[in-house]
Amino acid sequence: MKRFPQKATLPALAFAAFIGLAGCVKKTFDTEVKRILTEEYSMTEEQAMVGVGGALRYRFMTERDGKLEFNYHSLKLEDVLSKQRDMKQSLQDILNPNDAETRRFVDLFNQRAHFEREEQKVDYRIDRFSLVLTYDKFVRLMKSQRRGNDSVGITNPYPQGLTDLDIMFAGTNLARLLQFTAKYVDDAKAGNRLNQIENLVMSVQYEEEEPNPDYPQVDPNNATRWVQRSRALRIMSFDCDTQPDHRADYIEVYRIGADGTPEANPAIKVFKSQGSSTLDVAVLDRNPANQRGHGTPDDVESLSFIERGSELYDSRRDLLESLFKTPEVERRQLPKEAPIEAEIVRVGELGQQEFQISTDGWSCPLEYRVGNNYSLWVKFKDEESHDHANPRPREIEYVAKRYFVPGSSSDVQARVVEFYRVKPEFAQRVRLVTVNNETKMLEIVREGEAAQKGMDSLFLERDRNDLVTPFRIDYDSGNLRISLLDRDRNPEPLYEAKAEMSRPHTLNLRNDARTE
Amino acid sequence: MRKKLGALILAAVPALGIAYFPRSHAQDGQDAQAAAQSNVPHYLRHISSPSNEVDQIIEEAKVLDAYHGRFGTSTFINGNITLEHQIHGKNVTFVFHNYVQQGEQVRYGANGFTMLSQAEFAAVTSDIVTTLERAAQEAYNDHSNVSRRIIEIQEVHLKRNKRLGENEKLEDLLDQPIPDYPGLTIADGLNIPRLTVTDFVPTQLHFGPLPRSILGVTYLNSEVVGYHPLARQIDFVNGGPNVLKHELVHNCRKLQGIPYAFEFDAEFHASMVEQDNGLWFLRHPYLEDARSLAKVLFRFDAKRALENAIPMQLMLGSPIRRDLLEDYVVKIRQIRTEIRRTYLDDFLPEFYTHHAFWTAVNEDLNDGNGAFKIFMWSKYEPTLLQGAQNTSRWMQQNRQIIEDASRQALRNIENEQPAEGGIVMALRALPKEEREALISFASTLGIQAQDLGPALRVLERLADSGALNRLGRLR
Repeated sequence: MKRFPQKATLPALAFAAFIGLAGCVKKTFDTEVKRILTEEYSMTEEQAMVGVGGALRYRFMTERDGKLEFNYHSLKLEDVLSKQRDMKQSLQDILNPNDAETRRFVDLFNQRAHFEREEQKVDYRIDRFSLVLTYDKFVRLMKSQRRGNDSVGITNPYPQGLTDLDIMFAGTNLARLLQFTAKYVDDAKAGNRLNQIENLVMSVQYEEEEPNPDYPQVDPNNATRWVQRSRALRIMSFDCDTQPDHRADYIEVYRIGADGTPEANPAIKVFKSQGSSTLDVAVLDRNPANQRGHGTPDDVESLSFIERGSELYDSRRDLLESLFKTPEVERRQLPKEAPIEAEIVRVGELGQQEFQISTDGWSCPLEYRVGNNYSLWVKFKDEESHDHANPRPREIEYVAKRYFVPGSSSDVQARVVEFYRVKPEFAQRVRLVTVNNETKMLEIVREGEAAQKGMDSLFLERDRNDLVTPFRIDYDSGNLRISLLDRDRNPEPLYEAKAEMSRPHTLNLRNDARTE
Repeated sequence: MRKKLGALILAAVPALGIAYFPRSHAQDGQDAQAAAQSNVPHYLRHISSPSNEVDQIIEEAKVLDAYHGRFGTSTFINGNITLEHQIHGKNVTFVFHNYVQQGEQVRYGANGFTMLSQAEFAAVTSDIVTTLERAAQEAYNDHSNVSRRIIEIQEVHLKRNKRLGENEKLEDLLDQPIPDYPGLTIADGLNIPRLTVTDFVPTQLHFGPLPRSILGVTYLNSEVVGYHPLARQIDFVNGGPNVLKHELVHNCRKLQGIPYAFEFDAEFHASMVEQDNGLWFLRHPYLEDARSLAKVLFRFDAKRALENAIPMQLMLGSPIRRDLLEDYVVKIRQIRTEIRRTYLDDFLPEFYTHHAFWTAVNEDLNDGNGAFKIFMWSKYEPTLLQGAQNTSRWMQQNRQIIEDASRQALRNIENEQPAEGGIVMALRALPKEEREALISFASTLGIQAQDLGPALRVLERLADSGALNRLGRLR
């Protein structure tokens, strides 16, 4: 077996022994020390072998009362955590549902639940080591200490004298042991002089594109999907001084839930480090109240030039946004394997497959109307032969409203276009149509009649509720362009048909009208 | 996991040697006795199990000579005789590859077809069931103290560091749940392998041929083990189911499950339960680190011993200097016992007690046996430089140089890791069909699978030269 595969793929399991035995040269600490001692210090092979052992002793052991003891702080905590993350990666690789070979291996021997449990164990250890490492960073930042990179041959004490075993032992109360706080704040709280000098609430609602969990096994056509999200935060700044100077010494930031209630624990705490005049050490808890890890910091950052909470919004919005991790879409969904069939269809037997039909009707999930943020596009029906020298009167096929971002000429994000039919009394024998996109007025000149002018709604077909509704709505969704169609307009306005096509780069919309 | 014979085949004891080292009367007696027994399985007939270790070496080589070239494959698992049997209370499916029921008889097809009577086949099933039962028990016995020792060591440590009260017993807490981690207990958090004999018992044992010098195979975590008839013969010769025990250690997923099996030298660990003849220690690749430790700590030079005992590799067979080999196998037995006891009784409890630390040490040293080497150096004084006193003095005198070399070595490993092994990683990443194609192509050039190593090293040098830089990313 190969000693250190980084990736637990099935080929590694099946092939590794062969390579290992083939005599592949691997540069280990052992071989490298030996090489240096023989080549650079002219030692004999035997001396170098003893030298290797000496190197191991000096690096990983300490001598006490004539006895050798292992030094569990001889490695950096980062290296111990990194190893746990390697193990997690191995498990993720083997549980990857999109790797067909490992999936077959795992399922053939019914190992999925076992590996998932192993992953949970590794997650536990990663959480524990990460917390200790985060605390270590917090303490150093609060003392304005920096650590060098070269740790070879030195001891790297872990906080509170913890060893790997102490950290893995669930009986060690890390939350109590590792207090992410500062004495001046604790004193102010105890002395009841935590004076709030700023209270800022901010909220935003928006749409976000995220990976589609059904892609590619269930839904091979949409790699992404759009979801509605909202975010709200409360930022509070406190003066902790005995003689209040109305300057912030401490900041707390809380996530606000959908019901408007702030979470119990701050998502960010910002402190002043030793001797600092500004708030320069931020402790972050990125897990919301309903998730494991809430109330336990998972990151510490160094800040610059922050004097009060509102400045976080002005200059460190990235930090605030990082509190709203997009929920991880479950990518480990096992593919739904279709039965293997043999299907033979001759050309001509396929029939029409253009629409998906729903008796309940389809609806457009987007909000895109902000007043009259559309432009008008009019299309005549195509004719088989059209004499440009002697044009005949035409029939209007539709009037389209193409929506744009208010104050700009850009389409709204999903490039929404609504299509309307024109009332029969205006649609036939048309010579000329003129549109005014400022006023949303249409002017229609019909054969042998005076021009008729009015708001677009005057000319457009109404449903049985006397509302002007489009018979078709087109919009982008992920990699697709969707068309919703109300084909019969009867008895209710209902988009019973849906068509999907690949999202085009540009919208080809024809305009046969003259624009004022 | 595969256990391979490559090195052994290269050094097979020659047939001509028999003329110089005739078999003992005792052996002949055993053979005759075995032949007389109707319940001896067909593959063990005519094979002896000598008590003398050098005789074992010679008999093992004769078995290899007789069966070399019969490594084959079982194309399908289906169609073989299968048998359900409880081993230490666990249901095991035995699959007897190439044994097919034909009327009143059993057809066996290894090299052409042989017909066996029901009684002869019953001897086969009885032998394999008994061998598995014994192997599992012995593999467990070798690890039976591990869990208890881990808990003891952890308890002492946690009490010393005030994580556990003086009157608390760690064992009483192990099954308590960890808050916020549904289904996990304190024992899971500490990664304590709480072993029972059934952990070593597979759910499927396949008795049948394996390809390319492989004597046994275990698919990690799956509890499916393959055992070659030739391995059974070798185990018989050496007086115990060593190959099968080796595989059963791989089979124990509490010790060698994914991902933990990747974090140390799992082959070395599995080899610790074997008690085969001394030639395995002298030549088997899995024991390379044991030979190295034996040299520096115990002054036993395995390379020289092998050269002395078998001075020439002749194509017509190599002569053994029996007087020397008799002396060496006694020393080897002492050394193996020392290493084996240290590994199983002392090192494994320490390794699992500080599992997170020691696995990171292995990574840091880029050596799956790094932790064990450190452990051995904590238990034994080196003797290589003309005895313990002189060696200790030399180490003191050169301490500064050694520490400098240590720092430099760690930097080198860190800096050069991405390029090293790129080809190997690339090969591993190849689809199975392409790997097979490469092996097949190599064989057309006269390169056997086990000789691909040098060719790979040439490719590594090409990679170092930048021609194959792309492959470095695969690590």
